[in-house]
Formats: sequence, C-alpha cells, structure tokens
Amino acid sequence: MDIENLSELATLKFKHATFRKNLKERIEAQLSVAHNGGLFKATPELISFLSCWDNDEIYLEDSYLNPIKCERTVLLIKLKEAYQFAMNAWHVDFENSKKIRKATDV
Amino acid sequence: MSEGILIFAINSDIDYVAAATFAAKQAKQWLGLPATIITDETCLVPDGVFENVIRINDTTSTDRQFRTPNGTIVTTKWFNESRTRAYELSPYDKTLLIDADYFIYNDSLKCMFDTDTELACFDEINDIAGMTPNRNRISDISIPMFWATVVYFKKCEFSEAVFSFMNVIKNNWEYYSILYHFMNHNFRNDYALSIALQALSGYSTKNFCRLPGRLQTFFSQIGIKSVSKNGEIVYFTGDQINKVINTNIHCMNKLALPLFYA
Repeated sequence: MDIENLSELATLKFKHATFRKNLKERIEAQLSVAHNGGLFKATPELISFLSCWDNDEIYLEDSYLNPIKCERTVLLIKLKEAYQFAMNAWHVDFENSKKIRKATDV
Repeated sequence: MSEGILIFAINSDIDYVAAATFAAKQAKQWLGLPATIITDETCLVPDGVFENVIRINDTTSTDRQFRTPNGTIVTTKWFNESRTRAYELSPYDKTLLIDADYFIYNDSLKCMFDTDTELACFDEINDIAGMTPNRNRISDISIPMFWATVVYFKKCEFSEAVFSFMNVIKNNWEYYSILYHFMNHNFRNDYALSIALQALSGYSTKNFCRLPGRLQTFFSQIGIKSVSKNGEIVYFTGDQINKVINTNIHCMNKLALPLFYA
C-alpha cells in the first residue's frame, strides 16, 4: 500500500468512526422514557430487572436520582418499545454505514 | 397543562425568522406541539406556522464573530438579550425553549413533557464533525457549562428564579464576568444560565436535570453540503465529507442556515 492509499484508509476510518459515534449519540437520547413523572433509560438491565420482578408496584430510581412509584408492566412495555425502536434504527443506519467504501462516499 | 415550543428570532444580517420558521415546523412534526415566536416589531412572520406571535422591543444588539468553513471571520449583529424573558413571555405551562438554529429531527425531547422536571438543559456538547474537544466549563477555572440552546422548563418557582437570576446577571454582566473568571464582552445566555443554575441548585451541579443525550452541534467552521427532507444532513470539513441522519442539531454555521429552510 502506498502512502496515498494509507491516507485514504485513515480518512475512511475517521469517517466511519465519526458517523458511528454520532449515531450512538442519537440512539442514547432516544432511549429515554417518561413514566409517572420520572425519566428512565431503556437499558437491558432495567428491562431484565422489571421482567423478573413479581409485584406490579415498584419504586425505582430514575435518571434524575428520584424514587418513582412505577406500574411495573406499564413501564416495562414502554421501555421495551423504546429499546426496540432505538436499536432497530441504530442497526439499520449502522448497516448502511458499512456501504461506505471510499472516503469520498457519503 | 398547556405545552409548546418557544423560539426567539430577531433578524439581523441573518434571517433568523426564516430559520425559526423551519425550526418550528420540525418541532411540530416530531413533537406535535404548538409553537410561539418572539420577535420584534419589524420582522415579517409567515402565516400558518406559529400559533402565537409575540412582538417585543429589543434593540440591544452585540457584534458576534464566527469563523466560516473557508476560514474567514464574519461579524453579524446578534439580538440575544431578551431571551432571559422567556419565562414571563411563554404562553405555556410547559415550554421547550429552542434557538432559532436548533433543528429537531427526532422525538427524543418529547418525553420531557411527561416528567415532573422543573427545568432541564444540556450540560454536554458534541461536535458532530469530531474535530473540537468538548468544552465543559465557562472558563478554565470556573463552573461547569450549561447550554441555553435548548431549555425545557415548566411554570414553577424554580424556573422563575432561574430566569430572574439570569436577568440580574445580564444587568450586571461585568461584575459576574469577574466573579466567575470569564472574559466575554458580549452577553452569553449560556453563561448566565450556567451561573444561575449552579447557584440556585444549591451551589452544586449535581442537583441538575439534564436533557436526554448531548447537544449535537455543527460548529461554525463546519460546512453544510446538503439537507434532505428525510433527515439526512451532509457536511464537510476541509476535503472530508460525512453525514448525520435524524439527529437534532444546533447549526452554528449561520451562513448555512438557508440550506435548511430553502
């Protein structure tokens, strides 16, 4: 590989990395769910925890460090929806980014 | 409870009203909320976009400089001092205050209206082009930075206090610039919000509510090549070209604003 090819590869890698970082930034914002006045992030951990819990009423700490009284099943549905939507969107856009083969492609 | 978008836009060399009109259309499309524009007596506001048009008399402008993608420095007039009146002027119980150059391309901010949050904003910025390190303090030795580009607030004692304090800071700008160790001749809403929020949160930045995600920003030296209706924005830095999709963005390259609303 000559220096021109190396330079183009470096540019392409920077481009991929920046695109994917911005994609992840967007997805992070889309994972937020409001419930009973609190704000929660749809994470696999929280979804798993709520799936395992027995009672339908539960007190959870939200993103602002406040304890929120939650209806487990209602919140679980909302979190799953947000998670699924965000991850699907991420996957679609991420796959599209693989099609960028040259530094001049967009 | 009434909910809506609030945008301040006063034209200078730059057509901020046109940008605000596009920003309102985007916000309505993604958040499904009514919009109010606050402008001056002379600006023409198109029909059918804003539910409310509030006219104010804002004659205090400052000169603002920014670097364009080709490296030149452009100076424009900037009418930004009436923004501290957002609380008193907002017709809504719950308000999303956005800059005229903040364009919404997804519904990630919608959830804020279903929370009990009194006031929230971004405390972190992300340079979309990945060229600029994050700036997280109002100066090297001062308090953390909060960004006034997007502020969610509801009508309550705390929000009223924040905007009142911002007004006090604006009226005593030189004093606060010395106290908080920043050098800036122009009034900055970001700095006033940072000082007010930090003090009124108990001189702590830990009692603060942040908006989901980070403030995604095109800095002024980032060129915009195209903006498509499906939410794809192609930008360039030097000879490098890249894009973002369906991302809420703050466009600081004022010369590129027509690409959005054209």
